[in-house]
Amino acid sequence: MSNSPKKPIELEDLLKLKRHEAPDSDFWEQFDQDFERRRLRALMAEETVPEKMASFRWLRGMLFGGAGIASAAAVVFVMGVQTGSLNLAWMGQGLVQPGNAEQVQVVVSDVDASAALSETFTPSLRENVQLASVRRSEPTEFILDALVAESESRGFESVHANPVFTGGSQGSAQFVSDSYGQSDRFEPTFTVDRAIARF
Amino acid sequence: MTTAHTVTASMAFSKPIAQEASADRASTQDTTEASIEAACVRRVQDGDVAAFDFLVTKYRERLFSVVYNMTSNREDAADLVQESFIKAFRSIGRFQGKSSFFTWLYRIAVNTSLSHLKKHRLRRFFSLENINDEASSSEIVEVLSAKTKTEKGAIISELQERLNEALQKLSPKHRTVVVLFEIEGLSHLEISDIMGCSVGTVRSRLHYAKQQLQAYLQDYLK
Repeated sequence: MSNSPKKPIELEDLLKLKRHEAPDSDFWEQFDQDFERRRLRALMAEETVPEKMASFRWLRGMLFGGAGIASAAAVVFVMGVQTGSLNLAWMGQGLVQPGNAEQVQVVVSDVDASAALSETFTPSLRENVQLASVRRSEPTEFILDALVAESESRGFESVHANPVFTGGSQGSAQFVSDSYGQSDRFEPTFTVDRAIARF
Repeated sequence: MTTAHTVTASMAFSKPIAQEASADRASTQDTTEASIEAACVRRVQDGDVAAFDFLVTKYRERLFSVVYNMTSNREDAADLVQESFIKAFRSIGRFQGKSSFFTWLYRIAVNTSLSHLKKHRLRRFFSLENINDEASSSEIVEVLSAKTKTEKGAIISELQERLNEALQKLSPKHRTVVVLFEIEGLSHLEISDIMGCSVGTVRSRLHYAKQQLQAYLQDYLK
């Protein structure tokens, strides 16, 4: 190395020192975790669109079915809850309050796969299945937690929890999970209110 | 991008992606890398969320370097790089391959950073990265240390602060050109593509910016 003190120093040489400012491995570990969360949030935000569209279709059906203005107001309330939940709860333990639902159907589908796995749970059962466990906390609630998916690649799964009512399904919960965090618990993004279950 | 980095990223690929890439694999390493990247982009466009991880792993350090040197703030840089990747992820369906993926991604990061700098032009906080050990063995540090009879660590710290101050005195667009050319080593053409301006404008901005930096850093250049 020619480290003579008389060597002129160029601006370009000074600027090249900036290349040595680099984060350590801990930084990138945190970066990856933060990015994963943001991407999950982004994915879920995108999923609100079809959910909202579904709500509009439901609203239209009710209005034409003669349910009236009171029903319409309730639907708007549901949509507000849905959006709020999506913003607030994207990871953790999930709560589904299906009101007087007779069952909750949980569908776990790999984004890459065409087929989906589906399990149906009744309020009286505590189930442990391969992909999701559902337990009953109160007569009108289900808690979804401990989503476990063995996956070699870092895949994503779309999880739908659909309360099943007499006379058909009313509303659904939907959230996206990353199979990478196998021991994490995940929150659904939609709470069905008792008042809504009336419909 | 170093070879080591590429190998690591390729290993993180799921098997189907590698198989798909192998279909159009050419003889050279660069072409292979480009094929893998193109295959990966197609997979993401087809809805494979996990394939995007390959692109994040491949480009996160380079994007961070650009954004960090534009902002001189490591937390802002991390946030802006993540935001850039999210934007890329959301809009990758519209990426048609007219420019390289690398250029497209850099354009998103640079525009995101310029918007941030414009929005927060009155709020400037330095939050500087650690300088790795290699800096102390660089020729310029040796020269300055001998010249000023100052310990290398002190010289490095001082230089880091003065360089960041000098860069932040430039306008965001002039700073961006300096960062992309002098620190990231991109060509004038690549920079013009990223910044959406002519090569002549890039050269002109670079010339002016370096004049400014010469003046700010003249104590070290004597």
